[in-house]
Amino acid sequence: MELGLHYAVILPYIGMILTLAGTLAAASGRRDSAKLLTAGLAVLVAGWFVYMIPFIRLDYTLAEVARNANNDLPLSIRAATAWSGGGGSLYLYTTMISIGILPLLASAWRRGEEPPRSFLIIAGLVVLTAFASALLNGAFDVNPRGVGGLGLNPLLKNYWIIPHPLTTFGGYALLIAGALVAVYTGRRLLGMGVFVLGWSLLTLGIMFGAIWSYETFGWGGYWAWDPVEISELSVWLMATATLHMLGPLAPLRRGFLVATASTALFAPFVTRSGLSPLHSFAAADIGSAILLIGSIALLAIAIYEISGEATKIRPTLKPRTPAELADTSITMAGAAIAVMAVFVYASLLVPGILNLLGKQATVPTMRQGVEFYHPVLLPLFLFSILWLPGFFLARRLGVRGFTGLLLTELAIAVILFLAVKKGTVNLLPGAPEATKLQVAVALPLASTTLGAILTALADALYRKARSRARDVGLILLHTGMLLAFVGVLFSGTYAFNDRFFHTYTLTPDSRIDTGIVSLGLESYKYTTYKGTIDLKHHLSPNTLTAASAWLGIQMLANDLGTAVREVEFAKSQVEANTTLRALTDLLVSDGFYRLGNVTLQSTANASIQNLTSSTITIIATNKNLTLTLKNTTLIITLTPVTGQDGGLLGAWVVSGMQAGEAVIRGAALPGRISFHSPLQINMSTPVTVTLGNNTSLEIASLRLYPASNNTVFVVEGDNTSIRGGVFVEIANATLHIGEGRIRIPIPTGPGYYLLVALERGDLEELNRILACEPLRGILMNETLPARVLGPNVGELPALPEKAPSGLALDLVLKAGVGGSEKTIHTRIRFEANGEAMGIHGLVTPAVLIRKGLGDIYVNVQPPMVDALGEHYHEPLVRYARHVIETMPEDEALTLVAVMASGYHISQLSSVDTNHIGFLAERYIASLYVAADDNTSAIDSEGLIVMVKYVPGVNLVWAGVTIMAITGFVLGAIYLAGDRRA
Amino acid sequence: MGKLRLRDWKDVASSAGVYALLSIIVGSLILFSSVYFAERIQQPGGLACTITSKSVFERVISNGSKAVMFSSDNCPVCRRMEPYWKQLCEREPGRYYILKLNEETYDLFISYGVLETPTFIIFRNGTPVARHVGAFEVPHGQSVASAMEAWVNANIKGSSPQEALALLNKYCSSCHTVPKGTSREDIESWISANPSDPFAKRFAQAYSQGITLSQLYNGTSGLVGMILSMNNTIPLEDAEKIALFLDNLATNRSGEGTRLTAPKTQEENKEGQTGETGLAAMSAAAALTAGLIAAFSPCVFPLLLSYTAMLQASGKEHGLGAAVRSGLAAAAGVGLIGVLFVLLGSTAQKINSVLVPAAASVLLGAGVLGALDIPTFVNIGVRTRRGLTSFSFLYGILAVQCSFPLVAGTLMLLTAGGSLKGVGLIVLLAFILGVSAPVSLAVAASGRASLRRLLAKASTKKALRYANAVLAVMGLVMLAYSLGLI
Repeated sequence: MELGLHYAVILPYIGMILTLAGTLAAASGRRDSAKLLTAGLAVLVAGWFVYMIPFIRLDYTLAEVARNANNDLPLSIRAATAWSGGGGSLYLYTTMISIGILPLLASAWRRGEEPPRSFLIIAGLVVLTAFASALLNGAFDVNPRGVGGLGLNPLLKNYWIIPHPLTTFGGYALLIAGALVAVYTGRRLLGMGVFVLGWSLLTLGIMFGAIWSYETFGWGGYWAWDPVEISELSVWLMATATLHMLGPLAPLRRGFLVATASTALFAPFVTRSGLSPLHSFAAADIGSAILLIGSIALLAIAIYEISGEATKIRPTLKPRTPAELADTSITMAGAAIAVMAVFVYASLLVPGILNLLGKQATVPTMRQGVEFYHPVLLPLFLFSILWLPGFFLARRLGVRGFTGLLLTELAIAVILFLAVKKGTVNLLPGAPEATKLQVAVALPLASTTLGAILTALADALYRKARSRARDVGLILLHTGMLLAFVGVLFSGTYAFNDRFFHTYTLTPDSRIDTGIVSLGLESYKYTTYKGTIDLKHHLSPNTLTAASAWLGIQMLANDLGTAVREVEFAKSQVEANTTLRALTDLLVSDGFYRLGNVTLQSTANASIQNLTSSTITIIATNKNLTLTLKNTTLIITLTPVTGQDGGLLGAWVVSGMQAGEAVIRGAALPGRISFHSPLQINMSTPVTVTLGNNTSLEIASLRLYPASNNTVFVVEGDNTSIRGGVFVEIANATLHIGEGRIRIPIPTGPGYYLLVALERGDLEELNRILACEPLRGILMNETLPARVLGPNVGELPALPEKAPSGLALDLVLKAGVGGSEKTIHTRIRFEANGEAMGIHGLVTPAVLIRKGLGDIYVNVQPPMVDALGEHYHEPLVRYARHVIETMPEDEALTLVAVMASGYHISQLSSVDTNHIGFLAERYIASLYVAADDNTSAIDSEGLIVMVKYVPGVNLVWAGVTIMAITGFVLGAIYLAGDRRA
Repeated sequence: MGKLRLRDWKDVASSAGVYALLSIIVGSLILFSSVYFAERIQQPGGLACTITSKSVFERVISNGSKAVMFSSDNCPVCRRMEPYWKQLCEREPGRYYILKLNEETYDLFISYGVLETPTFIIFRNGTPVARHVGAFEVPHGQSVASAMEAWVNANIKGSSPQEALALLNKYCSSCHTVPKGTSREDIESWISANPSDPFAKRFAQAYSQGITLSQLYNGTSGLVGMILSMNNTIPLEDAEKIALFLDNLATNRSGEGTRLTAPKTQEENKEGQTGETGLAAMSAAAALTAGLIAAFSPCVFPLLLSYTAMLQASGKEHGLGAAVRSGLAAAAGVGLIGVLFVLLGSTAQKINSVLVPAAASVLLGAGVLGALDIPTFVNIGVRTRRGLTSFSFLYGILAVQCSFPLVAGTLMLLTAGGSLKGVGLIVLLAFILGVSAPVSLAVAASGRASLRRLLAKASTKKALRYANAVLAVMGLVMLAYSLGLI
């Protein structure tokens, strides 16, 4: 946290001081505390608008801007970066709470009234808590160097970043503000009005988040039981429970209002803490802990209030009149919703507290979430909706009418359940049996309730009651809820499970027929972003990505680099020397000569060399020996020498002969020769064996070994014949090749060995590496590592300050559904900052094709490119290519290394630290090689297209929107009521 | 003719049953339309060839000869074989299918003893008659698809127990004992007579546990491999036939050599045929009851009573002819409206599957409410002038309008029945009978005190409550019927 002075932080600091002063003044009972507080809040609100300026202007001297924005964001999203990061969003939160409280303070000021002390203190504390968490999360940090921006998280970089946080945080804020006003001042209607507005905003906010997830993540689901989603739900449920504390439950409303405030303070904590893999950008720390402490404090107050009133409740559980029926209904529904709210809140609070205490704690997510939450929430929800007709149609139905309705709908539910269990009704084909059964029970109850509520709507519209607007609004709200629920019943299982996806490949000018839609690819285009990101100042050396890149480059220089340099050196030597060239050609084509019978005759010394005891038995000295080999093959080859660690140290050019039989005239062997005791013949005059093609081998000394244990020795006088195969090691010879001569055996460097292998066509990978010019250039350059690697692991001085922020793959698709043909434009994005941060930069938005109330959900993925046994998705390869072509060599190398490491972050994080270098080297080299190819795999292999059908999902959005809109209207009615009072 | 006058809506408003019934009508229409759509959700990729649901599979194999490839997504051999099998499917639709392993179809894999994929099974009217596990060996010059096709064609009929026993004798009897027949006695006597024969012993092991031999060998390929290893003259096809035969034999205690699912299918087929007549009978009975209730409902019946009192007061004797005429006139009144709905129904065939259960739900609801003594009628006053026939005609229409919510259910039934040829007519007639018979009776009773007493008794609250309870039960049964539960 780096605090400092910046024009954008002045007003917030002043606001904080005034708020603090006002709160302290209220605590000590001073008279003008309200005015101080009002001033403070007003300044905080004004300060927000000033705070947004550096984001719009891309003024990186405010650290939050540098962390979240960069130069290729459109204006609207740039404004949104003010709340996309931890600190900024919490300052927004503070602002909106203030906005919720100010109307009360302002109107009190106008009327000359003094709001209650308790209200001023609590409101002030809440605002200060929110502000403190904003401060501690870096909202007001300065960045004196003013270095460039890292840019937004790839998944956040779309238009939903504007409505979702605004409505969600706005919802939380207004819920808190409304609750405080309703509980601690006499302005109940004002408080409830703000509260209901907050509820409506939050309803929208949760829906926006769900749609965002649905459109962007590509798995087709809109609810993943992610801790952040659960925290939004916990606030919403508590607020909804509060709104149902009517009739007999009315005394509990105060307590539930405060409980809602508690959840609304807790939710941003969850968002900012480490509980969620989806939303956390900072681990749990003091900045978020403050929110947790605040919410626990409010919860304590809530429990105190509720327990105080709980004994005063007198619910009617055996209604006899319509009025009693309405009471019973609201009591039942309210109780059920309250239980749901407490359950969900507790499921977060407990892990949250444990997390803060340093203990490992998780919240059930995804499938675990389904198994944990559904069995509790679904029955409670169904129970609560059963009572809707009992409330809205109480006077019309009467107790017995309601009973008749209940019995009928339960009977229908039982029959449908049995039919689905038996299998004669196949609801939701492909869904698991448990889901089908749940829907079999839920659908009749929801439908009948919907029928009842529509009847109530007609009834309310025709009655000329004074509260008609409110009644109709309330009924519409519940209608929306039921519609959304039916939508969830239809779409839930298909959205959540990705096994409904069917995968196809789509090349240009081809057509896929999926049975529900036909798809074609009209065109595709890669465009590099014009913007840049600053990795130099934002990628910490402590990250695995940076460390892996560093180790990979080091290994590249030492391992591959050395090998390549040695090969090149060998190559240059060979090119410069015709004899070497000739030798190389010989070795490459497998120096293999069938000589038939070979006779070597010379004056020679023969002895048996016992290699184990190092004794020599002399057989003949200076005798005229003739060695005849029958069925002889002569081999000249290159054998590698490897060190203890398996590394290639060098090679030897050696020669040998294999023969079926050997006859030695002039030497009688006293015994067997063996592999440990060969027969050595040193010739005083070397004997030449012609190999043809201007090549001959002048042999000076050789060693004879038996080829197997079955070799037969026959000694006849002065002659020895060895049958059964012999092997001759040519211990000392001169190879005459063309004009030149080479001693055999002769050692060579490792580079030469590699060169021969390369020329022979082995070492395909090394070949590809050498064929890739940019990579070869890097490997040949001995000074490059020093320029690119800092002294400590992870330090990469050549990381660019202006790396291209990414690229886009624009696709034009054709979709044929139900006889009509649509053109669809979609964009797959690759964001470099995502890859560098290890959260992956590929964003493949879903293509949604409306079909009835559902969507045909199409997820388009780019093809994969293979190189050296590794694979990458094509946009990354394209990006690497662009970087390699346009940036200086050292920056390109560092950036490519970071990209390759980021892409493989999960593999790298699961290996031993000693192996990271090897792996990273492979990744970097393969990315270079992949980037060397200019063609696109889209033409050859096609895009990967996954399609599934999500029925009824648009009913969910429609239903929730109806809820939110009617909520706004009802909130306005409350406020109007306050104005009149 | 009389004039129809709608009484104050307040009286309507006091009718709790109306609101309840309206809720049920709207709710059940929503429900069964939703169920209709929910059953027809189609995911991509599944053309007719691939089956991913249990009910579709059972429907597919239930009749005819079908060749099914049991496949799973992660199995490499399956991935190799599938395109060829799919080719065959596209070439000859309705014969070749692929059953994919998922949570729902898992049971099918278990019940057909498929322990390895791919397994190819030929079904004949629901019974497996031939089985092959693994890839298809391709003879030189042929393609995989033609090898598959050849196998299917050769085994489409499967082998009868006699054939299989003959194979068993041919290949195995030189070293082993084999059972003489396929009945339980044959098997058990074979097992007990040959305690030391390894074949009989293994078989006994499976038989006593009620599992297949394949399961004992961890898969059909294990069993087939074992058979092949016994005698290197056995061709693969025959080994497979023997394996399938032995599997069936081991798990079948009744000695008939067929899978348990087959008989059920036959029963179901029978049921399907009786289903429609049953539905018609139920609908007619429900309609008749509804008609009677409509006639005796508190809003219509007083009319009838007052009119008969008037008739009595007039002193005229109304003979049988008059009774019949008045009944027919009432019938005409009801029929007029009813026919409209029947005609409507014939154009609404597609929504039959929505209307029938919805109608049943409404009748259920009406019955429940009536049994709870909750008024479900709408008061419509009528001022009548003379004229028996015209009164009866008017009464007919009135009976419909007065208990509209109740009748709505019946009328939906009529609409639904409109698409079932002849059934719609039966339902209509039943309803008409229910409504108009009391009129005839009333007219005839104007002279007979005993009948009058009978009529009076029938209109008591208690009788009406019982009748409604019966209606509720009928509605419940109809609902269960329409959803295939009974």
